Amino acid sequence: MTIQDDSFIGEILASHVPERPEIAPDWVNVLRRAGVRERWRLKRSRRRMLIVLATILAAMIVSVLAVSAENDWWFLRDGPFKGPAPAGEVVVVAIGTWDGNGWTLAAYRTNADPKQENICEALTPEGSPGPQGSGPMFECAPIPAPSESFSFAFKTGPKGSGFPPYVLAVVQDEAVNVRIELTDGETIEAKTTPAPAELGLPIRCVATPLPGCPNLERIVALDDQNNVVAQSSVLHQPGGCNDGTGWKLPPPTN
Amino acid sequence: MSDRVSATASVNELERLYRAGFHRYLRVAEAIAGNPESGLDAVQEGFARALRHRLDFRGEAQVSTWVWTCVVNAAKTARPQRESPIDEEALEAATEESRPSSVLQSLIVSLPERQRLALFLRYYADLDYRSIAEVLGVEIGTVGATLNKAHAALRQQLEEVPK
Repeated sequence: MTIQDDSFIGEILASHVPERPEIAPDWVNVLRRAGVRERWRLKRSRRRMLIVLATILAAMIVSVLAVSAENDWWFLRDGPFKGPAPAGEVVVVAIGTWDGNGWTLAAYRTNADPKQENICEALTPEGSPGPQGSGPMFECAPIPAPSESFSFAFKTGPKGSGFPPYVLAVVQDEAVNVRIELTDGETIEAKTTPAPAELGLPIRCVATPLPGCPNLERIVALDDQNNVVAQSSVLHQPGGCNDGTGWKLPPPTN
Repeated sequence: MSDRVSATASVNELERLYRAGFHRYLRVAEAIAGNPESGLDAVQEGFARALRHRLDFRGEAQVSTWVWTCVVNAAKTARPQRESPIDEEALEAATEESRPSSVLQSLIVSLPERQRLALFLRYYADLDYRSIAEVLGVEIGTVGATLNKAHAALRQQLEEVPK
């Protein structure tokens, strides 16, 4: 047999693997495999609510953009407080107000540490120009693995500013709440916020104000059934609540 | 419109590619992996990898070609390790008028991997030479040569089929 042209290739390949129109795409399965939540895909019954929320969000985004434009992300500026280089974009996780003081929580991934990927997050009080003593906090920590303790940070605002002491943490995706246990037996519960899809990480963040000048004993991450997902204990809390006091877990021992 | 993205590949962009090209991805992945189940799993896993690493995408290639690379790599991982040799007996039994599909499959499976992948990406995915080159990590000139070799090898093997 002599074959003069290459038209036979298409014939061979057509029979080699047929088309399979009966198999339908399943994007939700892809998202689940990737660990990306499909938060933006709401059912039709929720869409009306979404429009209302979108209006509110639009106003918030304007505020956030103003903050980011003004700050140009102080933690990425050259200088002693410059954070590690991002491996993606800096995304706003949440914005809020404590006692009338606005703040923005932003986060980004970094591969600056060759041993492990880290997540960096920064809380910036509204109008804060940068890192010096105005209540902002910046921390980078390993991405929390299931059942492992997680990193968190404690910070006080400048004296007389009215900005309260607060805790900042990144927890596992299952942890919808955290319980902050103080040494005097008091507990404070706070809801966590899922990281935006742009971060591409199955984590949640929490930023919550604390009353007075608290002594922390432990932070417990809880799932939606109130089961303990992970916990981190404070062995030594330095500093008290002076102007701009801050520390991270594990806190310094001196 | 170019699908080159300056910073990262967005979730929406990846979903658009997935929905628009699902059956082409599936066909290529099945051809590489060897069966529909593994092919489907490879497509899902390939896109999941693309999603997980979308922030690492720096726009050196088109998003669509980068996604093809993810799917092809996932399919290669899912593929059975055993390389099927040419089915000589089936070849001998074949006639010019009716070649059993097993013979045709044996001919394709017997090709070197790069030639097979180039064929699949050309005929099933309908990719141009530049895109195939980016997916396979070779020079664009190599793609034409690879496809020519694949054609020649298939032509020769078919001509050797006894009448």
